[in-house]
Amino acid sequence: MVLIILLHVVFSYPYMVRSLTAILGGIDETYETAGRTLGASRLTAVRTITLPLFRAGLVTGAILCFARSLSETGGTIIALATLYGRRMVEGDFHTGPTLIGLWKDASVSDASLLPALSFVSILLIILALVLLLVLKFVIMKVRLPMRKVWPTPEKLLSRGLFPKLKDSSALLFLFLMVLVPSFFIFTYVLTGTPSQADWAPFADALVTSFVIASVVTLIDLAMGIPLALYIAKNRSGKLAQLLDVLVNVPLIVPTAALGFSLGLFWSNFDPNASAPMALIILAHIAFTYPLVVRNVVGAVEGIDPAFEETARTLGATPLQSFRRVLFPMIKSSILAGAIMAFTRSLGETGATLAVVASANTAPVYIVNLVNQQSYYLAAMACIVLIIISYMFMLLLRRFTREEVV
Amino acid sequence: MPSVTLRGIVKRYSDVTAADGLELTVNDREYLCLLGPTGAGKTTALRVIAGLTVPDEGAVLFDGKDVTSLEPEKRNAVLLSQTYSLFPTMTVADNVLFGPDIRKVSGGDKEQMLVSLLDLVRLTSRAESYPRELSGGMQQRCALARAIATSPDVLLLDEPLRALDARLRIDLRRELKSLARTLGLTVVHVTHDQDEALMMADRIAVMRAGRIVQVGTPEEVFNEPASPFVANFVGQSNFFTGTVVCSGPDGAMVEDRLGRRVKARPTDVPEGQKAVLAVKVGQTHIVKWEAASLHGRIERMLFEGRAVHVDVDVEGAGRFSSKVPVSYHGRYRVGDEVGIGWNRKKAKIFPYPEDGLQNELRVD
Repeated sequence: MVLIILLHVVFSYPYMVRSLTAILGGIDETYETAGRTLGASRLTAVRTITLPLFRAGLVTGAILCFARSLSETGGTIIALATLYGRRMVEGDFHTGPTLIGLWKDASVSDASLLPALSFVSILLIILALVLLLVLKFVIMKVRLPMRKVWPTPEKLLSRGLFPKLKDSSALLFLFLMVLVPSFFIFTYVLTGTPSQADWAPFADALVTSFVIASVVTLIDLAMGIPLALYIAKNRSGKLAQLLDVLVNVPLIVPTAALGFSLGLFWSNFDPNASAPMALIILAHIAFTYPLVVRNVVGAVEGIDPAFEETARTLGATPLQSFRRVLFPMIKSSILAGAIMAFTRSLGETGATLAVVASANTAPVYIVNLVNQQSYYLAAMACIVLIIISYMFMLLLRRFTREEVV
Repeated sequence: MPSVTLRGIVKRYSDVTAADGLELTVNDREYLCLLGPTGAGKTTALRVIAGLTVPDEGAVLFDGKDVTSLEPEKRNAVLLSQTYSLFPTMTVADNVLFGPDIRKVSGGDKEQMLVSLLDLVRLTSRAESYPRELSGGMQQRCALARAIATSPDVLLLDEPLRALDARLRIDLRRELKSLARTLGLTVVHVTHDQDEALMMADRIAVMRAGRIVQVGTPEEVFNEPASPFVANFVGQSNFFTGTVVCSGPDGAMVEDRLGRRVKARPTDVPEGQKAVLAVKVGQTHIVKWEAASLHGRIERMLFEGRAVHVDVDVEGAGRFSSKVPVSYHGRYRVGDEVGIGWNRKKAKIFPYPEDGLQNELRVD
């Protein structure tokens, strides 16, 4: 249990940091400066002025973290299997998604598990939605003690050792809890005994994963950008507001449960699972689509409509003004959304397993390796995945930087 | 270049009426200023002309042709927005050539056009700069060059000088006006700055609460205001409320409750009717006690450089303001009892507004 919590902290930590930095970057520094010139100590200023401003970011971050933890399958299975030193069975410690994965696997031979499977999925979906609402309500409505001011202790805490202590402990947390365990695998491979490796299946799985991720990303872009433009430009419309909320749902619902539901849905059309690739692609679109839409909506909303309007009066058709004026301005966000969708698809285990139990994607392959205790091979495969992801990260940074011109 | 006509334009947003039956004609090659306080619906009128806002009722005509449902890109009416909207991903040259590029103007013509336009707005050395590297004035000139490069028929300016510092603003007023005249453009210029409108416009249309309350040359709007609102908004005015007495071809008088009588030019307002007299602050004089029928105590004096602004509190009639030449400085002191007077020809009588004077003068 503790191990799983630690593991999920590693997974969800970046979401919180990302969400908060995004908001913090957007907040005008002058508010805090004004607060300080009005006599507030640094801590008081941050607490009473800056913190309330990024409450929205806090909500987003918390929701994303929560959803990520709730739906995490692959990592949890691997960690638990490594811990038990064997393939997981019923009666072991389980989280919702791992149970779904296990039962889905078993349901191939034993159809009586299907109702139970549906029940767990539904439970997870409902729980996710309810918790989301509660969380949103708590953070937005319940007032943190922002108004009260304790001048003396806060002044004390704003000076000398304390700020340094705060920074260094945050840094320590990042290293000990997130980075070191994440990259421990390298030391394992370096010190472990090499075993005879058959790379062909992994290469196959990797290719499958890439094909799936690429197709998913392309479809996301083609379908997501028009929807994002519609949402961003009809902000006041009821339909756009509804769509804006709906598009988030797959982001919050645990992917394993979502995958199962999608699997059931699509199997109506394709009962024999004759095209598992197509099923997996459809499932992946469901939870990566919001990433593209979110990113593009955010970017478009940040841009003054006057740019496009001016372009129109200068003689550009709506399509020309999008392509020549708006698109270059939101390119980096589109790209960011695409890369997020791509990596998310590349790394997804739970949904893939829930749709097609015998799927052959890279993460599923790694999970299987761990289940067979082929730790060395699993570690090597992980490293390959990490390196690929890292390369994408660099690409992402590079593209977003170019945009800053 | 076309004339632009707005006919009965109505535009309502959920709780505000931004245009409430606009009637306006901008003549060919005319420089018209739409002047009004914030929220009067000036920008809505401009957007309706540009085609960016579709009116709920009414029609927009270019040269008598109905263009109400024509897309913005087909109207050849270029909007220069308050923030200039220079495309941040393009250089100055690319921004200027945006219009010609869209129209697929050939390479040679484009080059020539770019050179001459950059020269016109004095940005030749900054052709490869990005908009954020330019100063406010340069950005404004770049946006202007971009607008002209599209060879528009109608130029729509939305507070084009607002973001500039005072001195630059005054220089650019002159440049903008002469450029528009040279190119023979029909210009609609939205502003809330009465000085800007008086200085630049061939004609001024004064707007208030979604309606046009007066259209005329700067002289007409300044000297012959159609309502107390216009009298106050275009060159601040002093007001005196009372009843019209002894009205005749040589002039009229207004008498207040305390029996004080002040003179004005001839009026159509019949004798015995409640009325308000308006006289511009700049035409109100501080005079000798004996020569005046209106007296008060100096409340405040503000040194303004070229003149001294004097506020006089007149018992039962409110505050009267006046501009006194700086050379008079020292002649008066706060607390002095003085007389207030004006040339009979400079004072105009209006029927007392139905909603009261305060409501009539409100600018929100």
